[in-house]
Amino acid sequence: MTAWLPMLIPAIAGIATFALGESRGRARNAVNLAAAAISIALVARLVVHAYNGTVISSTLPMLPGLSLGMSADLLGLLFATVATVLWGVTLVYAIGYMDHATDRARFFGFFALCIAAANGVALADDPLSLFIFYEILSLTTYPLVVHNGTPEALSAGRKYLFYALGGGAALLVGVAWLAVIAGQTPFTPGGALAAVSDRTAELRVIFALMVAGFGVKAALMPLHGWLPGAMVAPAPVSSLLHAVAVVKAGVFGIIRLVNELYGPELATSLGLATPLAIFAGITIIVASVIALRQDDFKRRLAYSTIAQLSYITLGTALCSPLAAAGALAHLAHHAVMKITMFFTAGSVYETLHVKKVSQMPGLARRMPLTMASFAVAAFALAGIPPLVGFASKWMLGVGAVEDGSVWALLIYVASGALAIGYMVPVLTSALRPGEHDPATGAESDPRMLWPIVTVGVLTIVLGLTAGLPGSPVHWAMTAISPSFGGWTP
Amino acid sequence: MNVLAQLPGLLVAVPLAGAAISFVAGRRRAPHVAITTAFVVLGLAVALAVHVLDGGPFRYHVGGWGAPLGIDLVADGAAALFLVLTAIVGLVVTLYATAYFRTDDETAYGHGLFWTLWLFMWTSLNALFLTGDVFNVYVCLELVGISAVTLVTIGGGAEALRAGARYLFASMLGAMTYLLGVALLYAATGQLDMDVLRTTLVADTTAATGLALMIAALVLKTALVPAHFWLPAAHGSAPSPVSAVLSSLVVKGSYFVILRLMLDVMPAGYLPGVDIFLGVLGSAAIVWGSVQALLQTRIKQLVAYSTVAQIGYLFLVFPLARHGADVLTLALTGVLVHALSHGLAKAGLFLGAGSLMTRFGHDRIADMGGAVRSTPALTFGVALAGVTMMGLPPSGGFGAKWLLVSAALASGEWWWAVVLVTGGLLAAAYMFRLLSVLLTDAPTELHASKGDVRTEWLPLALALGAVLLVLAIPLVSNLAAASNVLIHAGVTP
Amino acid sequence: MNPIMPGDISTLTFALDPTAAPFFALFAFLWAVSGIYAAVTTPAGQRARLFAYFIPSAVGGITVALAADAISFYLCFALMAIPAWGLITHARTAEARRAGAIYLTLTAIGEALLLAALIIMVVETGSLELSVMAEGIGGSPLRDVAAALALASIALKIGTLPVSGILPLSYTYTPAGAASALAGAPAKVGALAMIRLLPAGSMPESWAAAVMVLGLATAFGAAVLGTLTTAPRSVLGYSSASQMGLVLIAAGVSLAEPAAVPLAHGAIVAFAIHHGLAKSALVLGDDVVSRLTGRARTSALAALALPALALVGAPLTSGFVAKYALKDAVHALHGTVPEAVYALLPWTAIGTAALMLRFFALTRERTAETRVSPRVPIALWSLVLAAVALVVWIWPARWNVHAIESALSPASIWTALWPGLIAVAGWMALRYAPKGARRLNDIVPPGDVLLGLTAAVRATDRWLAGRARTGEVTAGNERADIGPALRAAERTAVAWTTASTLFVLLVLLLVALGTR
Repeated sequence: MTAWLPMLIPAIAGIATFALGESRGRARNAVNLAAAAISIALVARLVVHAYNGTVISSTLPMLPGLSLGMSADLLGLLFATVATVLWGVTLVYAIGYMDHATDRARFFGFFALCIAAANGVALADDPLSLFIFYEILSLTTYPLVVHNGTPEALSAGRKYLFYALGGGAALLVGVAWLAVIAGQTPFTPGGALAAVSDRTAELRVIFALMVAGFGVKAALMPLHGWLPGAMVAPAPVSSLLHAVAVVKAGVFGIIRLVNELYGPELATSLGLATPLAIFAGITIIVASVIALRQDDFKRRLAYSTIAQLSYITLGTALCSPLAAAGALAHLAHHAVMKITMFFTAGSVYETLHVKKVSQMPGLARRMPLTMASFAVAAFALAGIPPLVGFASKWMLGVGAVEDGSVWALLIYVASGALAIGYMVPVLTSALRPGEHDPATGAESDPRMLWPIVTVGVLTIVLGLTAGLPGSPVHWAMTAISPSFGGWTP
Repeated sequence: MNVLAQLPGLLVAVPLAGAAISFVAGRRRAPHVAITTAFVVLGLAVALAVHVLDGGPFRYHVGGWGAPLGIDLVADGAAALFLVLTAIVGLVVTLYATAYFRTDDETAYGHGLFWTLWLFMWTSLNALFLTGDVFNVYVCLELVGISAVTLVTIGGGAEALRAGARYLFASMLGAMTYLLGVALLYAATGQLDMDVLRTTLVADTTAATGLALMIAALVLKTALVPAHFWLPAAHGSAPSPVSAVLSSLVVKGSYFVILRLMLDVMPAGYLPGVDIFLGVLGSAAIVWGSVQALLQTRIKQLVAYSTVAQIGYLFLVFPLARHGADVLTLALTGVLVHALSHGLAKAGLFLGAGSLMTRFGHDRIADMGGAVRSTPALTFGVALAGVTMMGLPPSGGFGAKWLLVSAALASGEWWWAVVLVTGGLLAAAYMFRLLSVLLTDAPTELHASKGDVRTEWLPLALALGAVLLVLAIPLVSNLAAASNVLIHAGVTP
Repeated sequence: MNPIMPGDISTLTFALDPTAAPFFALFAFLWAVSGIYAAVTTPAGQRARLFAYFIPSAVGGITVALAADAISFYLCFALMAIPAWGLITHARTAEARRAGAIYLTLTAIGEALLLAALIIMVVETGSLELSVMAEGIGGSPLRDVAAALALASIALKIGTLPVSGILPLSYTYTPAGAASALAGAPAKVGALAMIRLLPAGSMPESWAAAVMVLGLATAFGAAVLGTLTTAPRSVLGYSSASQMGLVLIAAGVSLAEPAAVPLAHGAIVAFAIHHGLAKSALVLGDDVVSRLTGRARTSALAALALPALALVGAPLTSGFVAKYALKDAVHALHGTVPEAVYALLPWTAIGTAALMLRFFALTRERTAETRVSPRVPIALWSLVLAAVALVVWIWPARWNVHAIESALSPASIWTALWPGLIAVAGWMALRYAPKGARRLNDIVPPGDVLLGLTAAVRATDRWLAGRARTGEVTAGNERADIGPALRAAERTAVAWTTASTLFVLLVLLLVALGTR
């Protein structure tokens, strides 16, 4: 039962938020923050168990011959931890950000439900369970995307649903097909399909279907079209969902698919890994180049996210242990970096109504702490040591070369260069003297400022401690190890 | 005598008695009679389902005569499912109607009669689900048809009358064709009892022609594309509680007869190619109905065309049934789950549409912006019903889609899976066309300032039921195993 | 310890090995002097802003010499190069910003190439130690890839053709103190990388030849570009590119022939030190001159001749020694290309001499915009001048440079002098040339083709954006609305007659199928 709680507690918080209604703001905040705190403690406990080798799991019968299962293994817990911890941080931020907004009950309710679904995706023990939470995630995100209710938001929401449900449909067929030929297939490190590995044609089609399904949320080109538009959502949504929970659910699905459903060996021998890697590689470059020319701050970040998500996909598709571990570590690292940036985008919008990079002159002096945190995250994203992004990029690059894929290494380093290219202009613009003078006011609301500083500092701390046990890097290597026959570096 | 064995008889007798009493009770007390009846029937239906689960299918001889002379009722797992569905939807609709008809009580004449007609239709539907005899099917169909046509026109108005005329025409055309088929079948075999026909039917042109005519008639009654011409008008212009019952239950009655004829009575391949043909028509219905739903500008028309589409899914079981017991089990369970989830969700949707129309004072989708502000529970109910229409997890619709997709993939005929998935996406498209308007922030001008608790929450209750159905799939699966179709196919020992 | 565990800060190792020592001394000296110079000459209000970039850049720029493992090398390299962008854009003018953008783009690419090279070397050799990596990569199947990546990264740092413009761009608009550091140090990190990263002595001869040809072409090409440019510091930038071309020749020598490696590395070190000090002296001198008037200005101009002469390679200067070392190294190789390069080497001095003449001509006309007491700047400049003058006398023999003894022979004096004389002659000739020909000398803006490239990229981008917009509009117009047609189809389908016909057809079809 404990394995269900990381999903259930935010879900209950969400429903309680709806029940409390719009007027009881204090109670709403208390419920959400308490739920986040409890979830974090709970996930921490599960992590300790998992590190000691006890994987807590539980199943419920569901469809004929198939059950719904949750399992708190290290791989899933990494994603669950990222989602839950950053949920806590984002809650504080969102309470500040939504201070003057309407419909807060709806907002925070669905927000909690999204996290519940993301934790469900993280801990789901088999393709069917994962699919169910994946679809719930699609649905619960929709109200948040259209939260503003503007025509623009509605059109973005429509686009999002079109992509998400289309991907969900492909995933459904894939998962159902797999269930038809292989029955219940709980995720197993190294692959769960040994018994049916001779049905190569079907397995290839199923893989393609599932990648198409996960690829939508993972924003794998050409399935990425929804993400830039979805940036019309309020900043906390972009921060937590479109940088952490939702998009990571997609790449996490790919990680499960490659490492624990097919297994690296089968994925390679069926010739499935290389095409996936190529798609990811193209996505990295094309999205980074597009990011260069976005003036809208959040769109620029969105394209950066598209590129960075494919870092993870590419690392996973290389089927080399170090790259796979790097990919998993990057899942956590990118979350921390990108949430810092989206927090910044939200802060400058909420405080000064700045939406575009070209409107930023003066920001560095007006909001020094905010912009400094952004700068740290930006350089981390470009992979400058000793910040957090370097550690995972290094692993991904080394893994690529170990795998004999120098081209993948070149893509990683090229995208690092492009990241400098699309991040530095933001800083340049902010550093220029301009209209936003310190004389006109102070930093943003402290409830927004301190979360930004917290995650900004985290990009430094996680980078410096990347070599220590318990860091995402170490965690990722431990979690990925069984998929590669107990590999240790 | 065992009381449980009397359940089939009671399920017909109780609503009939309710209808009679409500007629005498007058319009003030009629609603109370209807509510009481509904609760009793629900209890009976649940008891029947439990009994079938325990002891398997059984026959009930009306008046103790027995076949071939008397009227026999057959209670199996599938029938029990439809009876329970009818009882649940019936109860909710009855409760809803007490609020719906109160609001404009004085303006229309027919409402007092609503309760009697409705309970009478319920009686005929229950009889239709239980009857074991192809001629009695005709009788039941006629009774359902006549009460349904009357109910459509009960609110008055030119549009409803036109729709009623069209519905009457279709109903009569169907009944006549069916009767012709029964006559041919009887001429060829001398039998009318389904169970007897199952064991005695041999290859014979006259019998086959008769059965083909019966199927054609039932297809018309079920409004499968291209014989759907009467449905959108009738379901779209009837009073909302009536629409809910018509869409969610009445079409299932004739469908259930097709199911029994195709999969139970006739040996496999008795009407060669008809199974595939029905599957093709079902696919066409899914696509055509969804596309038309997408084009509608009025809320109830949209929901009605959604029914045209959703009926299509039910017919995919026939081509899949050719692929062995495992696939048949999956597919049959799938369509039963679909019938249940669609029944609940569609009733919720029509009731919700009715409430929205009352609140807004019109039925134009484009002008329903801001509903989420003024009627959050109602909007949430419509959204949840939409979720199950689209077949998204976790919902009954998802369970149905999963089972049918699995059946299609297991059969090797993967194209049915493509149809299923496309249908889900199209459903998403038309549902979100509605929802995206309801979810806007537009300033709302409400016709009725405050909704009744029943009109606000009952649609949500039905939709929630459709969603939670996913948890009851093991139960449905057990009832499906207790159906004559699977027992006779040798799946269930 | 596992070599591929990243991120653990404790794995960073620094060592003062024989290669590191001269570079460390050079970098520490240059950054320190430039730092003080910048502190004195920068207006108080701008100091904090300048040093926010200067300090990290200096820390990276000095420690990079000591970095002994791949990660610390990359870290220091990045730490030096990226904040330098803030120095370049310090003036906040449009040109400075454009220069900064180009610099940053090329730097980012260079960083990426460097990281790729490092990662390949680490994986292939299983070690993070730079010395082990450079040694081990020679036997790896990925040797050529790694070497190509490393060379490309170095080329961006030292400004070979066709990216020579990066050097003039990085110190034309930079404040003098910072410019002196940027003129002296970062390109020498490229020289350090030549020793640290290239698989010396284990590459095919064709690689060596290609690298030498590129070096020679840069030496000539950058000189031509430099004489055609306008700002004094831009001239100096192209001169640096030209000089670094010569260093690249030494790197080419080191690639193929193991026996020539010590000589080549010696030449690289000698050139790095010589050029680092001389170029820094010229940049500071240019600034000092602009602050002086009258006799002081004349004396300063005269003193400026020392580093200029050193660059040209006049006898008894560090330049003479460095060039001699280079010639020695090239001479150690045999074959058509090395011999041709050897023959052409002295001719490069014509270009250098021409550049220096042009620099003097431009500097003479300059006056400073800020009035600060020039006392401390002069002292600092003198310190650098002293270093330029003295370094040649304390030149340790272990760098394989033993040219002093031959420096005063008439043959070597002539060798050093004739290119200069040709340049002076050409210069005089130009003074009497028609006006049109004289105007030739300001046709190259700092950055040359890079500016054109940037403009081309911008134009393409605008064009693409324009096309995308037009495309959207057309797509919107052309999207056919099939809604009415579908509605009409449904109206027909539910009409009485059609519906009845359809039903009859359905009945007939079912019967036909059933009784087949």
